[in-house]
Order: sequence, then C-alpha cells, then structure tokens
Amino acid sequence: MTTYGVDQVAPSDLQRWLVERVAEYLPDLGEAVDPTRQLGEYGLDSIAVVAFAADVEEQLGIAVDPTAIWDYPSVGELAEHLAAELAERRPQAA
Amino acid sequence: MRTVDLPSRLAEWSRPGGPFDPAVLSAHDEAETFPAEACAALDAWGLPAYYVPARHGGRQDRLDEFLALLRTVAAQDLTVAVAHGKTFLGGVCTWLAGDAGPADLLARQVLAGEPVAWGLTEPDGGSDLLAGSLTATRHGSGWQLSGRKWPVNNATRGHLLCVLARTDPAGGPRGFTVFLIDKRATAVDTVRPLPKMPTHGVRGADISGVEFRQTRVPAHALVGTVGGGLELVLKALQLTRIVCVSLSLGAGDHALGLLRRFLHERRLYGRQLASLPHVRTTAGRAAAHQFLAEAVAHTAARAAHQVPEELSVISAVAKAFVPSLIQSQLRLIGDLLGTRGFLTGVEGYGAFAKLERDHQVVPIFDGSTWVNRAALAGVLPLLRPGRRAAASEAASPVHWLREEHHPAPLDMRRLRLMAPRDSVLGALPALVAGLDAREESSKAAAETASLAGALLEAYERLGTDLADVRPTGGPPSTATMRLAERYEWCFAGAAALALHHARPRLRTGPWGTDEAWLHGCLTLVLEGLGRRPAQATRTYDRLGTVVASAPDVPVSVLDDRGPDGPARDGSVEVSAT
Repeated sequence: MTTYGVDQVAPSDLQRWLVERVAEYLPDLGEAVDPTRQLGEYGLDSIAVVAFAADVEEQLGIAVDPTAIWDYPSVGELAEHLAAELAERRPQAA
Repeated sequence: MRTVDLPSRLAEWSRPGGPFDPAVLSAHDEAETFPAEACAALDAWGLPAYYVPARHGGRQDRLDEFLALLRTVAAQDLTVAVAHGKTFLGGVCTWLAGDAGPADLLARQVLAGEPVAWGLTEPDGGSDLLAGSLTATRHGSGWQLSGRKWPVNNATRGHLLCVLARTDPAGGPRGFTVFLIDKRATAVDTVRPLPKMPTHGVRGADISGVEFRQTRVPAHALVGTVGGGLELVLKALQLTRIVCVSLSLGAGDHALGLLRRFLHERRLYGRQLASLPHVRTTAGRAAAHQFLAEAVAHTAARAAHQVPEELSVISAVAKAFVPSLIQSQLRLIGDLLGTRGFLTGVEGYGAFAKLERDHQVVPIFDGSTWVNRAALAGVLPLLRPGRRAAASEAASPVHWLREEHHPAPLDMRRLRLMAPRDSVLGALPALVAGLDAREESSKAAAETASLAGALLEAYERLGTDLADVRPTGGPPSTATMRLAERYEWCFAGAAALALHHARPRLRTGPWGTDEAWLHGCLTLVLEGLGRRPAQATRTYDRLGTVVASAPDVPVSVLDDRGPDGPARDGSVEVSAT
C-alpha cells in the first residue's frame, strides 16, 4: 500500500489510490470503481464512510472528516479536494 | 452548590402524598398516565436549568455533574427521569448549532420550564436516519413541513419539538436539516398528535408521535445549516448517549437499595439471608456491576470535556455497554429477591418489577445496543492497538479523572464524526505498567497487578484478532460484533483502572480497602472476556459482605455526598481569591 507524506500529490495519482482503497471496502463489487459515480451508489454505508475517512486521514496525514466524503461524494471530487488540502500542507488536526 | 440538595428533596417528596410517593407513581404507571406532579416538582426545584448550557444562561457546565443529577432522579423513579430528561435530548442539536440557530430563544423557553421533544425516527424507518421522509420545503421566507415522527418521547405534551427533516428530495448525508418547531406558533389543524403508544415499561411517559400537514414554520425555526442536519444529529447523539447511561446507573441504585432492604429483613432457615454464601457472592457481583458501570459512565462524561474528538467511539461504547451491564445486574438482583421481585403488591418491593420494566427502554433509545455496537464494529480496524499514535500525557484519563480536576468547558465544536483514537483503552498498557511500578507490595496490590496483567493479555489478544479484520461496507459480521463486545469489556477495565490510578481516595474506605471494588470490576471484565479469575468467588463475597453489613454505605465509587464530604467529586465551589 502506498503511503503518501505531505508532499504535493497530483489529483490523478490520488484518484487512482482512492479507487483502490474504496475497492477494498467493497470486496463483492466485481467491477472497477468509477471515479465519477457517487460512493453512496456503491452501497458504502455511513459507518463504512467513517472508516474510509479514517483510512484516508491516516495515509495522507491530514485531517479528513467523514463529512468531506459527504461534500465530495465521488472519488474524483474527493481526490480534487484532498489534493487541494495537501497543497496547503495542513498539519494533522488531532 | 445547589445540586447537593436534590437527594434530600427527593426523599421529602417521596413521603406519602408527595409528588414522588411511590404509591402515586405506581398508580400513574398502572393507569398509564403522565407523572405530572413529580415533573412539576423537578421544574420547581430548577432541574430545567441544567438542560441549558451556562453560556446560554443555564447551569449546565459539567456533564459528570449532570449525569449524577439525572441518576438521582432515575434512582427514585425511572419513568420520571425519562419523562423529564428528554428536554436535555431535545435541546442538544440547538446548542450544538450555537448562535447560528434559535439557541437563545430555546434557552428562555427551557428555563421557563417548557419541555422539548426530539423527533428523529419515523414509522418503518428504524434507526436509519437517512430513511427519513418527513419533508421540509422552502415556503416564502420560511419552511413548510409534511410527514410524521414516531415514536417520540413527549411528542404530544411538548410544545417544542426538534425534528430532522429531509430538505433534499434525493436525501443523502447532506439532504437533511434540523428544525425547532413551536407547535403553538403553527396554524390550527396543521400539527396533529399521533396517539400515545402502550409500552412495556415507562408506561406513564408520553411516548407518542406527531404528524405535520403542510405546517408552515418561520425562517428562524432552522437549526444550523440547510443540509447540516445529519451531522448535527450524529454529534448530538454522542452527548445524549452518554447522558442516557445515567438512567441505567439510577436503576442500579434503586435495585441495590431494594436488595439491601431485603437482605436486612428476610430471614431463611432462621438465619439472615446474607449468611448464605450464594446470596453474598451474588450481591457482591451486583455491586461490581454498579462500580464498573459507574467507571465507564463517569469516564465517558469527563471524556466529553477533555477529548470530545473521541466521543464517537467512547459514547458508542458507553451506550452499548452500560445499559446491558445493568440489565444483567437487575437479573442478578431479581433472582435474589425471588417472589418479591415479581409480585407488584408487596409493600415496597413492587418497585422492582416496575424499574425492571422501565429500564428495558434504556438499551433501546438513542440508538439501540446493536446500533451502537455496530458503529463501534465498523471502526474497529482503526482502533487496533498500535495503529494510531498514543495520546499525549495530558489526554490520559488518569489526568482528567483526578477528583480535583476541573473539566474544561464543553467545546461542542471539537466533536467529530470519527475518533482519531481512543485515549481510554489506549492508556491500558501504561496503566498496567503503572501498577507494576508501585512500591507497596501488599497482597491486594499483587492481586490487582495479576488481574490487570490478565486484562492486558486479553487486550493484546483482541489486538491480534483485530489485525485480521478488514473494513467493509454494509453491516458488520457476527464475528466482528463479538470483537466489538470484547473491545467494550477491555474499555471498561481500562476505565476502572484509570479511576483507581486517578483517585487515591478509592484505595480506602469500605469499598477501597484491599482494592476490593477494583478487584470486583476487573473480575467481572475478565469473566466477560471468558477468563474467569480463580479467586472470583472470594472477590464477590467480600463485596457482598459490605453490601449486606453496611447498609448506609452507598454502593458507589463516585458518591461522596457524605455529611462531611465535598459536594460531589471535584465540584466544590472555591471562592476566587
């Protein structure tokens, strides 16, 4: 598993990595995660979203509240958002 | 401090003819009528002020103190505590939203004794908040609501109702919004009560519902932001779930009081009941249940002030664990009371059957045991020991559980939907290491070290088992739920150990001598983890002896309201110099 530091990351790399992560939560999916589709459509429930956010937070080293996934509900949007956050190099909040 | 006189006032009110007269309350229960006299007495005493945060003009500034207050009411009558305490639940969303909402308006109403209901669930919706179909649409400068909320505590009697409504037809986590409705300010016939539900327990409480029919509400009914409702409710639940466990503590107090009376009065084979070893050990087990429940509840209440960002985990543990623990305790006590626990007409003891029925609502509301355990199960892979950096020393529960520690003001802005760590269970290795480093080498200390060592082993085994758990979407498997249960037991053991470290006072006195209460807690935890210690019977027997022989000593490691003691742990008011 790739671990990102707080260095600048291209949204496309981030998106690829997020697709892999999401797939891990959906072992029965049987198809590639479409970065333009909303995660809710894949049946990623609210509890799984919390766990997923924590995963992303740990890997990226920036605070990622599950509400970020609510506000940027597709992998593509989330990757854009997180890339911008990383660019600001915000230290982890907690 | 004023809170200290509530127990004595309750004792006064419980005399024949008083508002808390058990005969009056049980008549209400039988007739399924609202305990209005008791609630009015609590209003007059000023309990509503404790539902309002200090910054909005109320007296609520410490959750541990508030838990103690509600526990005292629950110990007298659980139905009354449920019927009155719901105003706390109804207010939290609005306090959380802060000045952006109708907080000051609500504060004035609550301080004037106006009850508030909290409407989350809907018919056929279960605990799934995203399934809500009560809809709010913009109408002029305000909103128009249509749909039902059910079941809701106090839906019919309350004029004020805080509801979660769908504001985006597509729903989703940003599709819901919270509104505070004043029924008195709505057009005639647009708000209809749904009938009170007959219930197995809390039969007098107003468990009913409400239907909105194109009900128009003003713009200032909006709480927080449009689309921010789910987040607000999930954060509010973190606080209310902790407060709810005080109802269980009160039920435990009530039951233990009845048990002590029984042990004192009842003679069998010409002997005091407590001379029978089985009776003593069972009474001791019941006491250990109470201590462990207290340790978890009190730790969670202090955690709300100190590590609010961890409450998503801590509140789920508290709400899943404590009501279940007290259910087990009530079963133990019911077994001992025998017939008296079952008959409702035997003077004084009829209360047991009622409180046992009443308590069955506690594991259900504000998210059932399953819902809370599932929430914990979902994040277990993230709570694996060693996965996250340990908390700083200042975040250690030993620091903020000290008696003299004054909790920081509750900062609701620090609540998060995801806990970055669990400082309580995370502290376990350090807590156990702290015991090994002790200079005293008494037999009791050696036994504590041995029990704590066994707990640490169990925690490490849990860590190993968690390593194989992968996060998944969808409901957790039964195996993962069982891991969550083990997590709760480990957490409870860590809370008890932290309390022991933080409060030297708990190493003396009837429960503290020979570290008896702690041994009781750790023994219970190890039993829960399937590792019954060899000396379990002796441990419970020792506690049972105190239960039976010292009826005036409260079965509590938190209660220090003795005649010469301070008001309540750490809450003595010191005048500024």
